[in-house]
Amino acid sequence: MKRIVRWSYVLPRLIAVALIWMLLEYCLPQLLKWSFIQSGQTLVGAKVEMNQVQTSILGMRTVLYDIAVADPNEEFRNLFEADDIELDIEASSLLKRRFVIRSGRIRGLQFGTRRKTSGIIDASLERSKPSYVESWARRAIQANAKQIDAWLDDIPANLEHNLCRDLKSPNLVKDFTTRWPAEYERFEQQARMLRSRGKQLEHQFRDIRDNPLRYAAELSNLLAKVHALRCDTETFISALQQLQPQLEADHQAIEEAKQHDLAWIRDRLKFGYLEPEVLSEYLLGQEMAGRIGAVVRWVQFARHLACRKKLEPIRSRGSDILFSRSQSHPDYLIRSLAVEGSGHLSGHSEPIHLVGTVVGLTTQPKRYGRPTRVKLATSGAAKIRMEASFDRTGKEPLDHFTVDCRNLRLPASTLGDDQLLILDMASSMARLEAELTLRGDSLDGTLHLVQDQIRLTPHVAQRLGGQAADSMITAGLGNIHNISVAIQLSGTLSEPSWNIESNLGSELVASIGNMWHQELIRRRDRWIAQFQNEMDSQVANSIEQLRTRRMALLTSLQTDQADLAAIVTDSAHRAGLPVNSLSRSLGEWIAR
Amino acid sequence: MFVWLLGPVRFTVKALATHDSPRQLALGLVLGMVIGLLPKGNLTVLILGSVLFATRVNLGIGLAAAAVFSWFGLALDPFAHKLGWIVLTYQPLRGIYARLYDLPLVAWSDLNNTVVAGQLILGAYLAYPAYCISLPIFKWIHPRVVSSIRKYRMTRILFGIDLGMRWGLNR
Repeated sequence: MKRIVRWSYVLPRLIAVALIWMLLEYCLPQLLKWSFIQSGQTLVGAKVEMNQVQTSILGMRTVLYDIAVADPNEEFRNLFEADDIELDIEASSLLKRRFVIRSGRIRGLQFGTRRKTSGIIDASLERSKPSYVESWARRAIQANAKQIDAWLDDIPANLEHNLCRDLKSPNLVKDFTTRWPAEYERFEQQARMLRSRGKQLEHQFRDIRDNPLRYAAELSNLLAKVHALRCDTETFISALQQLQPQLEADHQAIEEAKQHDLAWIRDRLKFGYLEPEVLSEYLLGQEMAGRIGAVVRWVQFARHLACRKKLEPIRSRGSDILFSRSQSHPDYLIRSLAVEGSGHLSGHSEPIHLVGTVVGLTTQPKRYGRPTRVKLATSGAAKIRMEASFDRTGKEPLDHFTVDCRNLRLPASTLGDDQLLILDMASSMARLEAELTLRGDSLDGTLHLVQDQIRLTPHVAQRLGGQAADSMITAGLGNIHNISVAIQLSGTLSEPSWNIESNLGSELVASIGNMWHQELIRRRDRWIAQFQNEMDSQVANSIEQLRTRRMALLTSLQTDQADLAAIVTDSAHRAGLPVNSLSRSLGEWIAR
Repeated sequence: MFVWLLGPVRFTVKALATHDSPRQLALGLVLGMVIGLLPKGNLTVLILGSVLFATRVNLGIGLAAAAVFSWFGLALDPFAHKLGWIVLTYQPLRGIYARLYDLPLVAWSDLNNTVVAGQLILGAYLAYPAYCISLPIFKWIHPRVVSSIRKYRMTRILFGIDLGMRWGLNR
C-alpha cells in the first residue's frame, strides 16, 4: 500500500480540500449573493439588491437578508421587498444531482414599496408603453361618448332654450296682431273720407236751401253726388263685411297652428332613451380598464416568474437515459415556500398581514408532473384569499387564478370623462371576486366587484347644462347606494377584451330618466299652459279690438248717412220734388 | 521564477527520462487514454483523474495521453453514443442501472449519458490491449530514450534543478 499510494501527493491535497471547505464557508455567501443578484436581474429585468447572504454547508441552509426587487416598469418603486428568505436545501437530493429546496420561508414581504434610487438597469431600454387594455378602453369610451352626448343634450334646461325658434303659431299670432289693425286703419281712413264727402254734401244742401235762385240748377247735381256717395258707401260696407270671413279664417289658421305646436311640443319634449350598458361602459370603462390592466400585468409577471420556460441543455455529446421514475425528478425544485409579510393597501390605514405558500416551483414542470400552486391569504384591514395554479404538464400551459377580497376599501375615484359627464365617487367598501383561466394565451374569466355605501357627485360639462344639470342628476343619484360590476373577460392575455355589466348604468339611466321625465312633464305642462294663454289672450284681444272698431265705423257711417238723408228730404220738399220716391230710395239706403 | 517557468519543460523531460518502470509508464498511458476519451465535467473523470494523480503511475505520460486521446474521443463520439445507447437501454439491466443511479453521488458520474458510458466501455475495452501493446514498447524504448536524453547538458541542468528543488534550493 505504501508503495502504490503516493502519500506525498495525497496528504497535501487532503489538507487543501479541508482548507477549501473552510474557505467556502466564508466565500460561498458572496458567490451565492452575486449569483442570486445576477439571475434575479436577468429574470425580472430590473435591479435586485440584497444586504447579506448566510450559508451553512453542513447545515444545508441559505438565508438571504434585506432583499429588494425593483419594478421594471416603475423607476422608483419595488416589486417587492422581503426582510429575509430562508432556504433549507435537501442534502440527499444534492447527492443525486438535484437542487431541491425542501422548505423555504419568506418573511417581511411587502409589495410596491418606494425606492430611493432608480431600479432601472439599462435606461436605454424601452419602457412599457400604454397597454393594449388602456388604449382599448379609450376607444370604447370614445365610441360611447356620442350616444351619451345626445342623451345629455336632452336636458330640459337646454331644450327650452332651443324650442321657441321651431314653433309656427307665435309667428302667425304676431302677423295677425300687426296685419289686421293695419287693415282696419285703412278702412277707417276710407270711412273718414266718406264722412267728409257726406258733410260736404250736407253743407251744399244747406246752402242751396237758403238760396232758392241756385236751388233748381244745383239740386240735380247734388243728388247725383249723393247717389255716388251712396254707391261708394255701399261698396265700403260690402268690403268691410267681406273682412269678417277672412278674419275668421286667419283665426282658424292660428288655432290649427297652435294645436300643431302643442302636439309638436308634446312629441319633442320626450326624454331620450339610452342603453344602460353604454353608460356603464362609459363611466366604468376607464376605471375597470385600469384594474384589468393591473390584473393582466400581474398575471403576465407571475407567468414570467413562476413558469419561465427553461431551455433544456442541448447535449453535444450523447443523450441522457432515464432509468426509473425517481430519476424524472426535476433538477431544480422548491417543494414548499412559506410566505409571510405585511403591507398597506391603498385606501387602508391599517396594514394587512400576508401568509401563504408556494408549492412545486420548478424549472422542469413536465418532469415534475404537477402544477405549481400558490396560496395567499391576508388578515387585518382587508381579507384577501388568492389561489393560483400554473400547470405546464400538458401540451399547452394552463393557469388558473381565483381571488376573493372582502372588506376592501377602494380609494376615491373619478368615473367618466370631463368632456361629458364625471361622477366623483368617494372612498367605499368593496368586495371583489375574480376567476381567471388561461389556456395557452387565451383568456377566460370573470371579475365581480360590489361597492357598498357609495357616494356619487356628478359634474356635467358646461355646454351640456353645467350646474343646472348637476343638481338634477344629483337628485337622481340619491337612489343609488351600491354598484355591482360584472366583467366577462375573453381574448388573449396580450390583447384582452371584456364586457362590462353593471347596475350603475341601468340605475343611473332609470333614476335620472325618471327624475328628468317628471321635471320635463312639469315644465312642459307649465310651458304649454303659458304658451296657450299667451296665444289665446293675444288673439282674443286683437279680435275684440277689431270688432269694436268695425262697429264704430258702421255706426258713424249710419249716423252720417241719416243726417244727410234728412237734409236731402228737407231740400226736396222745398223744391217740390217727388220726395216720396226720393225719400223712399234714401230711406232704403239709410235703412240698409 | 525562472524555475517555475521551466516547470513544463522539466515535466516533459522527466516524463520521458525518469526512473519509472515501463509498467508505470504503460499504466499512465492507459489511465490517460481513458480520461482523454471521456467527456469532461463529471464525477467519473474526477475519480479517474484523482487515481492518476494519487497512484505511482507516470503522470507525464498520463497527461499527455489524456490530451491526445481527447481529440480521438471527439472523433469516436458517434460510435461511443451508439455503444452507450445499446448498453444503457439493454432492458434486463435497467433495474440494476436504476438502483445504481439512485445511489448517492452516482448521478454526478454522468454514466447515464450514452457518450460517457460508451467512452468508458470503449476505454475499458481498450485498456488491456493498450497496456499489453505499450508495455513492451516502453521496455524497449525507455532505456534508450533515458540514456540519449541524459547526454544533453540541458537535461542534466533540468534534473539538477529538480534535485535542487527537492533539497529546497529554490527558496
